[in-house]
This record gives sequence, C-alpha cells and structure tokens, in this order.
Amino acid sequence: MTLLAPWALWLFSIGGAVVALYLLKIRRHRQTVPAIEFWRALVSQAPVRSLFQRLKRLFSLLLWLIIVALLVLATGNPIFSFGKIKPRSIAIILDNSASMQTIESEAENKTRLQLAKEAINELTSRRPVADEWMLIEAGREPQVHIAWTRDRRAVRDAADSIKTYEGSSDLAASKELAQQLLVGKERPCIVIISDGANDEIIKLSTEDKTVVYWPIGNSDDNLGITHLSVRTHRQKSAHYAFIRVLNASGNEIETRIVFELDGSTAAVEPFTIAANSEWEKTVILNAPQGGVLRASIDRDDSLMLDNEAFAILDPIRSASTLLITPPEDAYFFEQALVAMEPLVDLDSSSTISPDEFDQTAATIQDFDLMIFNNCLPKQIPPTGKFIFVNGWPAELPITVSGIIDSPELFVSQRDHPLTRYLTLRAVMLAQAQRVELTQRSTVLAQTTEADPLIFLIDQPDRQALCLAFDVLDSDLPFRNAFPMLMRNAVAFLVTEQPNWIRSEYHIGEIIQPVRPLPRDVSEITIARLSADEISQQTIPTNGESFTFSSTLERGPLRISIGNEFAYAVVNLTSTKETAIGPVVAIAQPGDNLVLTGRLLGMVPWLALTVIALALITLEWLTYHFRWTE
Amino acid sequence: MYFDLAWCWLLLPPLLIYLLWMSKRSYAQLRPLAKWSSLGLRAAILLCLIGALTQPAIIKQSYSHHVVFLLDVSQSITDDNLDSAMASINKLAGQTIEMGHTISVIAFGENASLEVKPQDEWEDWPESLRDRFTYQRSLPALYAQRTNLLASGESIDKSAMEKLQTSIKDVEEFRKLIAGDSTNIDIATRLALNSGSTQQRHTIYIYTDGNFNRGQWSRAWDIAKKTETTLHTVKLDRPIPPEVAISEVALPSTARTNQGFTARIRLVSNVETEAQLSIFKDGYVFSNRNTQVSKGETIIEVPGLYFLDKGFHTIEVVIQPVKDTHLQNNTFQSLIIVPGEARILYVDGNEDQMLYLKSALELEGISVDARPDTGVPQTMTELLSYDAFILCNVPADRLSQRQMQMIRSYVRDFGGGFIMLGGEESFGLGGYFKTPIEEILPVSMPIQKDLLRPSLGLILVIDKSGSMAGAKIQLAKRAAIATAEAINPRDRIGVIGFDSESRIILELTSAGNRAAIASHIANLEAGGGTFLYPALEDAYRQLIQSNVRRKHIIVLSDGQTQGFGYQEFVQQMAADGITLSAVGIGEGADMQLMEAIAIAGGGRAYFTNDFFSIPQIFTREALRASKNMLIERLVQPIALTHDALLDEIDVDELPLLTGYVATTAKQAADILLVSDSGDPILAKWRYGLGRSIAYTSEAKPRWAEDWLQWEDFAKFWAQLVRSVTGEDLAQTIAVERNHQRTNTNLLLQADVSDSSGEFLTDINLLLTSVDAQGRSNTLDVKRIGPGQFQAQLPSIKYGQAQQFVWHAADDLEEIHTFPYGFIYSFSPEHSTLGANETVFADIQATGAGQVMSLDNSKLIIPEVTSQIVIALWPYLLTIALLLVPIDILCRRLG
Repeated sequence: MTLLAPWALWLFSIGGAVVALYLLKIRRHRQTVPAIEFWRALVSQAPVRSLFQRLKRLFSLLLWLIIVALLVLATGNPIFSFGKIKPRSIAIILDNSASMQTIESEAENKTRLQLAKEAINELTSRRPVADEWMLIEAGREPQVHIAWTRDRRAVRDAADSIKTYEGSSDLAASKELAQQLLVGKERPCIVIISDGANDEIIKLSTEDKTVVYWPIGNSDDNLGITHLSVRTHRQKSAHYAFIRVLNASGNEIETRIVFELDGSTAAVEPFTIAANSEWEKTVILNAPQGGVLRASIDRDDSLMLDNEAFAILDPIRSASTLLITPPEDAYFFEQALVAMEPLVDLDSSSTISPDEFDQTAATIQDFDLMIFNNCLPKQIPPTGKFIFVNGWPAELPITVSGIIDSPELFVSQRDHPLTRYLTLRAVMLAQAQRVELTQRSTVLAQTTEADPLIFLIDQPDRQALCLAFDVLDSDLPFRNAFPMLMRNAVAFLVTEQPNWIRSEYHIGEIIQPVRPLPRDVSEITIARLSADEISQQTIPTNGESFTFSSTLERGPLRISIGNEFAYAVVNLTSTKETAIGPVVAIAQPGDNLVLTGRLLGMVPWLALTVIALALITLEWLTYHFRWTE
Repeated sequence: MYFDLAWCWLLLPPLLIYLLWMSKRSYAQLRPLAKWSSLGLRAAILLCLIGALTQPAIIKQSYSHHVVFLLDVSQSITDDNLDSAMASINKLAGQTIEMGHTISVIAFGENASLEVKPQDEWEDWPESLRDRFTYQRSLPALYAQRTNLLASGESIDKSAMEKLQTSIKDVEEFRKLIAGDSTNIDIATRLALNSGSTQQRHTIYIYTDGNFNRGQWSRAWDIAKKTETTLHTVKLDRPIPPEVAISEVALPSTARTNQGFTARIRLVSNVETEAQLSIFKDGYVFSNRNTQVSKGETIIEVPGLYFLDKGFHTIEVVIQPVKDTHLQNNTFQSLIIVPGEARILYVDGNEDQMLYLKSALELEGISVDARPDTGVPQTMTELLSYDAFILCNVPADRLSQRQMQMIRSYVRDFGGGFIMLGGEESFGLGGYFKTPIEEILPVSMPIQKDLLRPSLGLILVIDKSGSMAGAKIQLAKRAAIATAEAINPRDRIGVIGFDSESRIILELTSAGNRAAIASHIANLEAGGGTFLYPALEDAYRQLIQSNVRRKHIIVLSDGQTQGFGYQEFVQQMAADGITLSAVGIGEGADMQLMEAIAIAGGGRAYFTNDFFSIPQIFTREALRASKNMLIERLVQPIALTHDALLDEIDVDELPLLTGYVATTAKQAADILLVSDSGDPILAKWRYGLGRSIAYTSEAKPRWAEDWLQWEDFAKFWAQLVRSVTGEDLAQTIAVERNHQRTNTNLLLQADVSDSSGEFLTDINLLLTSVDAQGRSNTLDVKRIGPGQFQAQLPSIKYGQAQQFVWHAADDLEEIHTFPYGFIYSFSPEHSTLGANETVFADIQATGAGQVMSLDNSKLIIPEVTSQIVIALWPYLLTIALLLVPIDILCRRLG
C-alpha cells in the first residue's frame, strides 16, 4: 500500500490522544439513590462487573482506534498494489475517427466511441490509484485533453467530453506525441483504444512494446466509397468520374451507386462486390454545364458516413477565338480550329484580316483567345490570351537578332501541357527568327543551338504562345503536330486555367489557395452548399493566402475570391475508415497492462470513509445503549 | 463549488435523526451539557464524512501560465543564432519563474523533443543541453577531444574516454533524430501545445529562422488561436557567415540524343565573391569557368549541353566560391532522361570477331555498343541505358554474382531484353548452370536427353587445408554438389579432399545418386597443411580402374603445396587418358604449379579472387569435359513454328550451321529453330517484364560461315534484336510522368492515355525502383483517377539518383516501359540564407502573437486566467479526524 498524501500519517497521533483519553481516570459524580436498591444491584453484579466493564471499555477503545485508523488512511489517499502491479504512467489514446461512429448491434446499438468511453471507465477503475494518466484525442490533430494526473474521474470526464470526428485520425502521430510526453516517466505505457484503423494498429503495437491495444468493435457490415475523382475530357465534352468502393464485410453484396448532379440523378451503376474486396468503375458523364456530383451507395449499413462522396464537375468551356491572318493563310488555322470543336465554339469565333483588326482593335473584346498569324498588330488588348505566329507586337519582351536558316526543331519541355503528345521530329522549316527573350519565359521547343522557336511568355495580365517561324513556310501544317499544338494551346490558355484551390479535400484538411491571391482581396467568403441550406462564413486573407480549417463536414463548398468563384468538396473517402472489420488478433506485447479489482467497488479512500462512517454510527449506538463505555 | 456524488447528502438527515433519537433514549448518564456537546460533535463528524463522500470541489481562477520555449535547432540555424537564442531563453525563463509560472523547452528540427520538462524553477542551461543544441560546433570539438585522448597513447583515461564517447553518442543521436534534414513545424507546435498542465494557459515562444520545409505553419497558428494559446515568434536573424548556394539548376527533364540544351543555374549568396563553376556530364568535366557571384541572386546560363546516348544521364554543377561556409549546398545534381532509338549492348568474349554481328545490326539501323568481356556494366543505371543486352561467349566466372543478379533484375523488373549466343564459353559450357542468367533464358543447361551417351568420370580434388576455412570451403562444397547436378546422371563423380594427407570424401559414384553425394560432400571440413600429391594418386587410382570413356580431374587449391614431381605424374595420367584442370583461388595460390599441371594434364588453369565464381568454374569444367554439350558438325536448322520474329525470312532455306551448344528447352519457351537432332537452336520467352532469347549457335565464321554470306543475315538478327527490345510494339500507350514533394513524403504520378488522348481507365500500371546498389523494388501503385496513378515514397534520399520504371501492359498483353528519375541534391536546410522574412510577415498577419527580433525579445504573458479545480474531501476527512478526540473527551468528562 502506498499513500499519495503521506502527511496524513501525522494524524495517527490522534489515535494516541484517544488512548490517553481512555486512560483518563474519571471522577464519578455523585447521585442520590435508595440504598437498598443500590446494594441489591451491587451484590448481584459484583462477580462479573470488573471483567465485563473492562471488556466494554476495551471494545470502545478498539472501535475508536479502528475509526481513527480508517480516517487517517482515507485522508492519506491510499493505493493498494496487488502482486506485480506497479504504478505506471499511462497515456490513453482515444480514437474518435469516423469509423468509431460505427453502430455495434451486438452492444445495444452503441457507437464504437461510446464503447471506447466505457473502456476508459473500466481501464481507469481497474488500475492502481497511483497510476498517472493522460488522455490524448487522436481526432483531427492529436490533442492532450487531460495532462498527467492521478485523478481518474478527471480522465473519465475528459473522455466524455470528446466528440466524434468525422474524418480520419492519425494514430501514429498521437502515439508519437504520447511517446514524447512519456519521456522520463517510469514504467511508461500507451493504451490505444481504437477499432484498429484498418490494421494500422498492428504496426503501432508490434513495433513498440509500451503500446497496448484495447480493441473496440466487432461489426464489419460496411460498404463505403473510398475514392471519387473526376477528370474533364474537353475534346469529348464529357467528365470521367472514377469511383472506388470497399466492402469491409465478409459477405458478397449486391447493390447500386447513384450519381446525382445538382440533385438530379445522372447515372445509376448496379454492382456486385465480393467480400473484403474493392470495386472500381469509371463512369462517363455528359454534363458540359458542370455542377456538384454526389455519389451515394443505396444501402444502409453499420457506418453511414462513408456512403456518400462529392465531386465538382467543372463546366466545360468552349473558347471563342479570333483569328487575325492574311486571308490566303487562314486555311490550316481554320481547319485546326474546326477540328477542335467543342473545345472551340465556332459560332462565336471568327476570322479577320490584319487590316480589319487594326481598324476595329479598340472595339474588339470578349474573345477568349486571339491568334495572330504573320502580322504585326499596331496594338493588342492590355489583357488576354494570345498566339503569335511569326510576328508579335513590340511590347512583348522579345528581341529579334537575326534569321536562322533550315533550323532543326526539338521539343525542349516535354512535360509541359503545351507539348503534350507533340512530336516535332524532322519538321522541315525553311527559316526562323533568331530571338532573345528578355524576361523569364518558358521555352518549349528550340533549335539544336538552343535558340527558342516555340515559347510561352507569361505577363501579369497576358499570356502568349509565340512561334518564331512561319508555319506555312514549313511542313508543320501537314503533320499531326500542328492541330495538336493548337489544341494544347487552346486548352492550356483558355479552358484549363488553374483553379484557386484544389477540387477535393478530406475532412479536417486545411484549405489554402494553390496560387497567390490578388493583393486587393482582403477577405474571402466560404459557403457550404448543403442540400437544405447555404451557410456562409467570411474570413480575412493573410497576405496572398488564406487558411480555412472548418472542414469538419462533408459536402461541397463555394469560395468567393474577389469576383471569382472556386468550388471544392470535402469528403471522408478513406480506406482506413471504411475498413471497419475487427483487427486480426495481435499478439499482446510482453509488457502487458495488468488490471486489478477494486475495494468494495470504490476507490480506497472512499471505501475507507464509508466504513468509518458506518463504525461511527455503530459506536453511537453501542455507547448510548451502554454496550460500551 | 460542485459535488461529484451529491446524492450522498441524502444520508445526512436519517443519520442526524438517528443520532438525536439515540441520544434521547440514551442509557449513558451524561450531563445535559456533555450530552448536547457530544451530539453536536458527532453530528459535525458525520457532516464532514458525508461531505467528503459527496466529493466536493471548488473551482479557482488561476493566473498561472505555462511558457514553452520552442527552439529551432535545424541545420539552417547558425551557432551565433543558437547562442543568442539560448541567452534569450535563459533570460525569459528566469523572468517567467520569478512571476510564478512554469516553463518547458522543446528543441525541434525534423523531430521535436521535450528537453526541459515542465518545471517551476530555472537556473541556467545544463552543459549537456548546450552541447546537444550547438551540435554543429560541439561535435567537431568532441571529436577533436577524442582524437587528443587517443593520441595520448597508453595513458588513456578510460573513464574519461567512456564519458566522452557517451557525450558524442548523445550529440550524434540528437543531430540525427531531432535536427535531421528538415524543419517540421507541425510536430514541434503539436508537442508545445500539449506539454504542461491542461489547467494552465499556454504561451509559446518559437525561436526560428522561419525556414519551415515540413508541415504547415499556418495550421499550427490556427490551432493556437482556437485553443487561446499565445504564440510569439522570435526571429533568429543574426547575420550568417558568407554563404553561396546553388538554389536551382533548370534543365529539361528529357532531351533527345544529340539535342543541345541549356542549363540555367541559379545561385544565391549573401556575399559578393568570385567562384569557380564546374559542370560535369555523367561524371566527366564539361566546362570549368570562373564567375562572379553577386550578393542576392545570380543566374548563369550554360548552353551547348547534349548527350549522344539514350538513357539516364546526370548533370552535376559544382561551385567553389572564394568566400563560403557550408559545402553541402555547393553541388547540385540533376537527372535527365534521353529517350531515343533502340540501343543495344553487345558483349563478346571474342573481341576480334564482334564485327560480324555489330555490322549486321548497324546495317539495319540499330545502334550497337560492342564491348569485350570486361565491358559488362557494373551499375543498373548503365545497363538501363540499353534496350537489350547480347551476351556471347563470355564464361560465367567473368561475371560477378552481383552482375548476374543485376542482369536478371534488368530483364525481370525493368523489361530489358536479353540474348545469349552460343560458343565454347556460353550456356552450360560457360558455367551458367544454376546461375541467375540460366533463370532468364528459355533454355536450361543440363541435357536431359540421350542418357545412354558415353559417360564421364570426374574427380574433384579439393584443398581442405586450414586456409580454406569459412566461405571458401562452403563454396567448394556447393560447387561440388552443383557439378554433380550439372553432369549427366549416368556420369560418375568422386571427391577427394586433401590437407597434409589425402582423404576420399566420395568414392567414384553415379552422378544420379545426388542425395548420397550431397551428404558425403557435407563431411568436407577445412584444417591442416597442403599436400596435393597423395590426393592426385588417389584420384588416378580410382579413375584408372573405372571403365568410363572420359576421365577428368579438377584440382582446387588456395595455397602452396608440398612435394615435387607433379608435372611428370600428371603427364603420365594424361598418357593414360586422364585430363586435369586446375583452379587457384586467392592471392596465395601456387599459380605456377597450377598452370604447369593444367598444361601437362591437357586441361585449363583458372585463377580467381571471387570465391563465388567457384561453382561456375566447376560446372563449366565438368560440362566441357563431358563433351556432351559441344556439338560440332553440320547442322540444318529447322523452323518449328511461325513467329513474327521470322517474318519475311525464308525459313525453309536457312543456311547450314557447323556447331552449337546443346541445351534443353524450358517448358514455357517458344522453340523457333531446332537442330536435326531436336536440340534448340533458337528459343524465346518472356521473363518477368522483359523478354529473352537463347540462340545456341554463333554469328561468327566458326559455326556460321554460311550464315555470314546469307542475304537475310542482317535482317534475321535485326528482327531478333527488335523482338526483345519491344521496339516492334505499337506505341499505343503514352505515360506522362511527374513527381511531387509533399510535406511528408514524395509522390510519383503517372497519367496514362492512348495515342488519341483518351484516358486509359482499365489499364494497370506497375512501378519499379532501383536503389544505389542496383536492387530493384516494386512499389505500391494506386489508381487515383481515370488514367491516373500514384505511388508514394516514404523518404527522400539526398544526393542519390532515384530511378524508376513505369510498366503498362496494352490490350495484347505487351508490356511497355517508361523510365523516370530525379535527384534531390541536398536538404532544403542548405538552400536558404538567413531568416525567411516572408514567413514572418505572414505570421505577424495572423495576430496569434508577436513577432520579435532576438534583441527585442521580451516576456509577454497575457493576463488571462485559467480554472483550477481543488478537491475538498481530504480537508473534510482531516476535520472529522480532529473532532474525534474532542468527542471522546467530551463524553469522558461528561
């Protein structure tokens, strides 16, 4: 037995005082009684009186000494160490991730999180009172809910206050934090109370002997969406949605997935999925207008959180182009643009001559892309996207230093979207302009002497793809590379402009812009686009960035940045959370956590106080009935 | 105040009534005063006890703060900054303690550690912590101390040395585990936010240069705001010593053969200085120039770079500034992939006869790199720059075990092509039995037919002297067993061991009796001197009595043997039809004697330092001696099946061959040409991701003179080579490859489409990596979208080329390979110069605390309170206890 408040032993001196009081000779007070009665009573009791009187007094003293001892021990807050059990420093990690929302039908339909909290109750009550405890919530970010304490009730209260986190928790990071906070502690121990997080626990508990896994949950009836992503095929004016579903149960399941676009059913995919396996499918959605895609599994199971996922379908923009070229040179460019439909909206595109452009330049607007071929425009709009072929305005940072005869053309930036699928091998060029680029630019194709021939100029308000040679004075128009280059240019400059944010985030992820915000934007507005309502939140920007961390709910978001909108979705989509099946038995580490019983089902000081209370009550009875003295 | 078990108060009324009732009916004749006093005291005791049972607690407001000092000890922090930061922490920690608060100190870099646990006292930095934090300075000093101590000779103070070693180990571990190669702000702030008591408010001081390269600092500040934690930042902005770093070398990730490109080198410097800039191409100097480095950023363009060969190539930029401090950031490597036409490596043991095949292939437009037998690549990087590898007439013992494993991996894991041509040193005759090369080939080496052929009597005479102990004797045993397996089961084999005397390990016995042979050979143990002669006598005696047609002895020794007259004795054996070959291993072998007896015995002498080649030498010798494999006669190749490989070749009019090496086709092999006796001449199959061909004859005058005159000779070989390179595959798949570095790991991504740009949604992609030792490893690839794949690498290895190959199978199950690679030259810790003011400006904008300079660092603790819960039950129990003697006294006196 160990006392947590050993100073209480001083209180044993009260026991001495009690004994001293019993040794005190009591002067009996006078009382007048009839003498005959007195002598009769005295005579009848005389043979037993002295022994009985002594026993009564000893019993009374003993009772008081027991009471004092009990109260002193209770004040000392004792712990009882049985056998090998020694006090330890125990960091409890409570997994409150999405999978802990699984309903356990075999446990009165409680959630795993409820069962985990009950487990904490059991654990803290079946360990020596001298154990030191710490509770870490593993949720979104490992967080200590109660630092080192011996107050087990505080640990239980802290556990009760932990809410479900609908995302995926990082048990490894929690364990790391626990380890850091256990440094220097005697007999350290980490108890992870979790459903196993898709066997992540196996690695954690086998690599470290201080880790004890406390398994929660047995149900495996779950089908969940673990991946949903969408790609846009602009040439086909379609979206490709890739979905992956995991069956965590031991049974084959036949069900269907419903794809809804802005609330209307866009596709239904029936499928059969084998036990403990994945099912994948790419679904083509013809929805050029874009929207919010919701995929849901048409089946109820133990964990409903992973039965739906969202994705954003970007609207497929058709570019309006203005081709400025001498009429006799227009053919190949026009054919390339026609072949690009629906990437190019032919109805709103047109072709004009350089003279016509110069006359109407001031009034021309609303074209997504202007293509200048073999002409030197007097002025170009201050903003926009351009292609310049064999000539460009002086305001671009390009200096022409001569002519190159019969240059060989090589792609120098093979990874750039503008050179995707582009083969320029052995293209025959009669001549090209030798240029020097005075500002930072991206050279996409060059000669063997590294003279730029195809390059991209990036200015704050303008983006221009330049070709330093006359396309029609080469065999390029007769090759596949020409329409391919034009297609890449339209896609890159107009229709594939990067978003401000990523299109998908996981629950708990922080949303930050992927490129710097305009300096004049001081705040952004984020709206949750749930089916029932739209709730908005405005947050200030932080320089050219912002941080939005309230991503604790699934669903689509709309972020207003200045006059522009960006869309994103927040999903659970996690194999770790969907695979809810119990972990295959783990061999417990050698240094097991031994649990004990309790004293009268209570903590020792409480039990001792209750006993003392009972004895004091008893003593009152014995004294007044003169059973003791 | 609140009560945990408030229902316990319900016990009080009945107990008080009980006390009163008992008091009224008491037989104890107490005086009224004593009686009522006793009743009152007893009631008070019960009140206290029941009060304790209810577990009351009061909530008190506390101004106590826990101040956490987070010290950035990553490699980008200079000693000057660290010293100043520690002085500042020392001052602020003292002030914190004086104000009645508690402190803790956390050091962080790649990881974080609680160096000073939460405490309410502070004196000064312990010396051990100073050494740990200033590891960049303390480690060299500790090493110097150790050197000095060791130099003191015999008078080494052992306890001082042990203490020093402990200190060095402690600091080294700190540098490796905590400082590491990066600055992880997430892990540091997580520990800071969670250290100390949860009943105290936290104030965190982060001493850093703001160069966070792992984790999201904004995430930490966001959590701090939510938990009402004040987060002050102290800029480690002391001037750093002169430093020049290569910040970036911009190069195209791919370049065509012979295509010129420009390297754009970005240097950053905090000093103006002169420097020498060197560019290396694949390890060879390309250019050396002196350059002026400006303060700030300097851009240098180096044009005219090119590569002639396809494959992985490296460009290394090295800067040697006059004024500089760190060397780590002076070398920058980049990997460039040069795709191009198929390129073949052709290694031939007969250097003077390589011309025939090389010319034929070049005539068909195939680029061939022909090398002698010493030219087998040593590295996977080199091998991967070829589409196929032709190995002709090179014995197995010329290749190390590692090279053979590398070739196997090249074919199996990286989809390379492999062709082995016949010759006296090829296939079984070359000792390839039971080697990784045999695994690759569609034929196996032992001949499993014609078991009635004349048999061989072979005796292995193995030196088992003491010097053979260990790996040598084990390999000799393995070689003996492999030899027994390689020869015809009807052949006979015996083993004699010798040291100072001869010992017959295995009597001449049938090679088919493999279990018995293996158990006998297992008895071979090393020990004793070296005397060969008696062993030769024993071997001679056994063979001369045997009725086999060919008799051969193989002698293996690693030392100088005693005795004389060997040459004469071996000549006598040769006269009796017994041939002898000798193998000397190690530098100590008596090669003069070995060569002499090999010549006298009509055999061959071998010398090797590579013990692992012993099995190859033995099997090669045994198979040569058996003469079963070497078929030298006129042979008409016969086409068995039609195959695209033989398209447009008149297989009915194939010229005659005059020899080949007999092999046995493997079950899954496609046999295209056979000899008139059914032995495979041309066989092919797919091995792993690659393809291999066995052509058991030659492309040289000795066995293929008619073929050299044949009009389709070049076409035949070109088609054969193209069939293993995959060049004949239609280019139906395009794979865009890239990689992305995240906060925690490295992601490799591939985007797969067909030639029309359609996403390939049903295709499966594999990814293989190769490490610095040439070992291959298959990575987990996950589909992340239509035609999109991703693999994850757990860590970044600085300064090492990371090479990968993506594999995709098309509709026809043909495998296409796409190489990819990159190098991270050094840790981002070395690419920065000084404090990151941009991050500090952004931190300031968050409003979670103040950003202060080192000189102006001061203690700012907000006057906010936290709640402390105080349990009252111990006090109530104590009061009850104190009342007990008063109660008794009262009764005693009453």
